[in-house]
Amino acid sequence: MKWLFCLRLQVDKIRGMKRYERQIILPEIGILGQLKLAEAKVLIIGAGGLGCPVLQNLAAAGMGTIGIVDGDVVEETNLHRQYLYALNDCGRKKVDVACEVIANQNPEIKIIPYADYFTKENAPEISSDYQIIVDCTDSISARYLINDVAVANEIPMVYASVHKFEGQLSVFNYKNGPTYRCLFPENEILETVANCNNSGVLGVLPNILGAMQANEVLKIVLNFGEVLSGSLYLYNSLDNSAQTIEIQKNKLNK
Amino acid sequence: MEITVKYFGIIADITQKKEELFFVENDSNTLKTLQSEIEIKYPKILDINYSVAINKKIANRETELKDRDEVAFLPPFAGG
Repeated sequence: MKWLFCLRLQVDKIRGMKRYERQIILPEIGILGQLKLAEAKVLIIGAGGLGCPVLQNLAAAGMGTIGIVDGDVVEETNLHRQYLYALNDCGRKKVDVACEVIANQNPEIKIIPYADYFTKENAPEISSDYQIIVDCTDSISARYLINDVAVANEIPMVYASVHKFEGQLSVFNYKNGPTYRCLFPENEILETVANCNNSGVLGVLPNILGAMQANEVLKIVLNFGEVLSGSLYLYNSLDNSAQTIEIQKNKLNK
Repeated sequence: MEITVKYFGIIADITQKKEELFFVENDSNTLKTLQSEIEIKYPKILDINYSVAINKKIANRETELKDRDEVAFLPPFAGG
């Protein structure tokens, strides 16, 4: 009976919040959906061009616990696309600034900062408590590590990446679906692929893709719509073309 | 056979185009043959690890091509 009382308290608390009123009136969400969000735990790897919009969107929606991993400091060259940061934040740890801004935006949720890069060594400890991992990194080797952690923990990995005016989006390892390795088998020449620092990017693109990652996270937590599993979504911001490529699961990757 | 090839990401940077048409002999119709032809035309592609889709489905190098197939060269993106 005690759990029922606790549930009742939480429902009353959410019902009293004006903040989420406009999304709670969606039949797909409702009070119970909002409760699911409040109880969900999501880990975001990278607080850069993709990580900022993922964090902002999930925090605003009321994601209960968000872990954010990044060892970087804010630089002036980040400001055109990483809207969590301001000029006087330059030189400060990204996760520290992100936590302050988000705490101000939504004090109802819990943000856990990890001011470190995600490595093979710290990955098991950092990731153990989360139900979804969001890949917002800017290196291919980090994506393989995140994939392997997601597979080991049996949790989905919400992936996006950008190249100039193009973006890729997918959800890997969702309900035993294809993984990142099914799409891109590992190869030693991969690290030559350019990132935003050396190939350039317009700020809106990672913000579009990051918002789409947050959308996939919300669909997974709330269990509605169609999660982008087994498909690679490709978007081109120059001509607004988009297409979806089917990915088969390679059983060797599990 | 007429095959439309679409290029993405860094591969489109190398080819300097988003798509082009290839004419493949009917008796050498695996994806491998077409890939080799494209890699000879644009040797820098050999430095890229990429996946290939045929008609919007990830395919392997032994997959047979049919007339008017659409082939996509998909490299991973790194930016975030």
